[in-house]
Amino acid sequence: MFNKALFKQSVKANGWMWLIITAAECFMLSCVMIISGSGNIGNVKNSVESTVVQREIDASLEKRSLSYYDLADTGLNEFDTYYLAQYPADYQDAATYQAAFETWLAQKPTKASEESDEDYAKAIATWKTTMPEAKTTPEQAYALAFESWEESMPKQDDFADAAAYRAAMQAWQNQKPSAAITSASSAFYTATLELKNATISQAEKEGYDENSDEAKEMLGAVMYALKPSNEFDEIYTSHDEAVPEDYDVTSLISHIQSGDATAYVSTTERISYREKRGQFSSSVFLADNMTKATTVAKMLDTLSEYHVTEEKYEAFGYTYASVKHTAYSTIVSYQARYDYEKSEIDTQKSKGDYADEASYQKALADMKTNLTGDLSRSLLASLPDEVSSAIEEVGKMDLYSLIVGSVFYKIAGLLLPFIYTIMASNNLIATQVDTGSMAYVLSTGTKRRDVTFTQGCFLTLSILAMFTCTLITSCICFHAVNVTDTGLNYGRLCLINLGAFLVVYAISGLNFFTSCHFDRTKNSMALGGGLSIFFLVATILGLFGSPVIPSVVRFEALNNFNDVSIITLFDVISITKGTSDYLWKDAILLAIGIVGYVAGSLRFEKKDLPL
Amino acid sequence: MKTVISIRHLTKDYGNARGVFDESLDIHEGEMMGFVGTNGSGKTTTIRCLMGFIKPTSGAVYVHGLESYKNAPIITKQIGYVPGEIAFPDLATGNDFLRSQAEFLHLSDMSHANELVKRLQLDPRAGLKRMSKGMKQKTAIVAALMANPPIIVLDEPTTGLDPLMRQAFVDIIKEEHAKGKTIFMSSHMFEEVSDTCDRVSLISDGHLIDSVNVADIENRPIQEFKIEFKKSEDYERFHHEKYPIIREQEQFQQVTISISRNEISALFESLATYDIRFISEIRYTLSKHFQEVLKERNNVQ
Repeated sequence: MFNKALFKQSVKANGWMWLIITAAECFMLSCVMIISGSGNIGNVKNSVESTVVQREIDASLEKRSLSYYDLADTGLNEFDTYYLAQYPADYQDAATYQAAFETWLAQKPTKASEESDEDYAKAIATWKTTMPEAKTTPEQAYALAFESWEESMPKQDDFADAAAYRAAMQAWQNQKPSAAITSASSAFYTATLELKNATISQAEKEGYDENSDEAKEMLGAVMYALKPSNEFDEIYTSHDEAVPEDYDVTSLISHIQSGDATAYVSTTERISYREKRGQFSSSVFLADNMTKATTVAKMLDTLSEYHVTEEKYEAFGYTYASVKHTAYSTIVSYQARYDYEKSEIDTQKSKGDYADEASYQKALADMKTNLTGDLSRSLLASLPDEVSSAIEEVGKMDLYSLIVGSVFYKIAGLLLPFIYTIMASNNLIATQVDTGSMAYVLSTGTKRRDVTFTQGCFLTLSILAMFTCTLITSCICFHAVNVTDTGLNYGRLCLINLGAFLVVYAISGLNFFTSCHFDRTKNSMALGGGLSIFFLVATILGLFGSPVIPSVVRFEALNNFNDVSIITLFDVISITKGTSDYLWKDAILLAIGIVGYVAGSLRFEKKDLPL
Repeated sequence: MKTVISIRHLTKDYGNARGVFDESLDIHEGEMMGFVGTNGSGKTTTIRCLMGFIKPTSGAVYVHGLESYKNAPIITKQIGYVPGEIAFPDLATGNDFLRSQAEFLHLSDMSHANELVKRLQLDPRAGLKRMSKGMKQKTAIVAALMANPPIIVLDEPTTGLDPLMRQAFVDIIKEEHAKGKTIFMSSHMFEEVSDTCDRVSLISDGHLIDSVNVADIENRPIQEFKIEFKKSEDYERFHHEKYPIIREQEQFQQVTISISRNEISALFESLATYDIRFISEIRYTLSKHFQEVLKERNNVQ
């Protein structure tokens, strides 16, 4: 069967071609594997990923700053309302109490000269029990204030001379609690409490438990804006920020007294006062929150899914100052746009475009939602769905096995072996029949079957040798580069090389058949080579429609080309994903090759040779 | 005489009246057979059938009694074949080619090949691609003869060779013939085959027309002469001689006569009395013979 002389002749005739093509193939392969493995491709992927992640974080920061601001602003507005509602009653209450208190005070027994100290003490004690009971908050506040005021009465012994003592006494007298002052602070207290309860109940309405982080955050956003006591100063002092002054209720009270408080609350002056306070406090609160160690740890935990390490997170640069700046500028631009949009809506309202108040309110609410969404759009949300899912895919895709497997081994790396196969299979039979040199082989008593068997062996072995070389090259290159996050390993590289060999083997079967069938090289090449190149071109076009390509650049229609190419039976995806689909596909490729060789051989034995 | 190659009712029909039709021919051992015909007459087709490269539509060629198509690997071992178109395998030099052929033939002794190379003054180190037609032909001859096959088949071997080269080539073939080998050689040149072959067959349009021994043509009993007279009265007078006149050209005062060999001296004697411008023998060649045969055949048809 095997003819050594013919095999030698084929080796001599095709050896150089084999060597050149194999060298070129291995060179190309090593370039592809080393270049794509040495970081360039990984960088693209990483930067896409980082951009996406950073923009997502930015977006959530912006969104959060807006929601803090919204809470703060609404909270302060509500506080004003509560205060307005509370203060007059409290004042009334306090004033009544103060009157009663003054009356009671006036009844304080004076020590008569005959009275013993004990009696006097008794009388004082009796008198004290008749002190008007402080039931309501303003009353208690007044009583408390009075008590502490009284206790802080200057003692004569503390002063060097009588003049200083008198001055101190005078100052102390001026600080005597009045109904106005105590009711101011009691109303503040009550309004704060109301605001707190309202905020918590809002949090509960949104589905957060009173003790949940979210509820605490909401409450914090409101309370830091209001700053009801010195307890809230620490957040500012710890970041070297100026501590905001106490919330201005004095102007409220003075407007209450002048009777235009309700109008005052919605004046531009008051609104902008609340806004400024909200802007500052919410950006500080957010920046403080974001830079807390626990928050950072939590973020890293979530982001680890996207390969964000601590260093990478630090590289993103979420410092206190930058977060505060982001939050502040987002809020400011939100406010500016909100004002503009609102004025537009108001103009429309004045034209009578809104049927009733409800539709006007709805338009306002819609505008607000749109604005918030607009300003805090994440990168993925701001792109069309297809693009965003594609970018997400790029972030998650295994680029190295895509380049090495689907692009090189399945397309680019097949071109040279295809050219070799087309040329060699035609050289081995068709060209020799066409030129007539086959006569020298057949006139020496060589059987035709021996000719096809030997030439088939040569073709198969030369392709096998070629892919053995690429296998060795690919393993060396894979060892040389250090690629993480890839589905490739040495075993899978072997399977990919085997798959590529089987594709070329199937193609060689086809070309061997046409080579045996036709007397003319040009016809054999036209059919065999043409079909082979067609398969390759179909696979190139099909690649753009195949699932390995991110959906945004994928043309689904082109996937049809994959259905007409036998290269599709080389299932790189199955190999890199570790499924076993490739097994039966490989078997079909092998079968196609064998059928080609056998059919070609049978045809060659039967046909007339023009020698 | 033993028959070596026997063509029996060989038909290979390519359609459109192309191919060969019902050929029958025997070639005996030690015979040198010429095979003449115009281009496209079917010479190569016959040889391809003989070599077993193509399957006859009907009939068969037998070599030593073996049918050629089925037994091609066996019979080709006994045949040294020089194809009509010289196209060598894709090898570097003549030496490579000859060594490769020797390997195909399982020939370990290259002495005969070397001798042939020397005789043909061939430089086998030359690259196959840049060989001239003559060198290629020589190389092909060496390849065909180096295993000393008992049968040699040559398909138009001298086409494209210059006259000197052709002579050297013919000498070698003649030498092989002298060694007792059976030679079957096709050509489209009558002179060539008549010069070298024992027997010549004519093929025309796929039909084997005639087969003749060259010696019979050369030594034909009847000879023809053309005579031109200076004077018209001589021309007139000659008509009264007994020689059969086959052609007259009165304007040149020429006659052509056909006489048997033994009458030649008598003719010259009688011509002595005439004033003649010239006398020439019209040779009866193979070509003339076949032309006549073809003419006859066409008339019959």
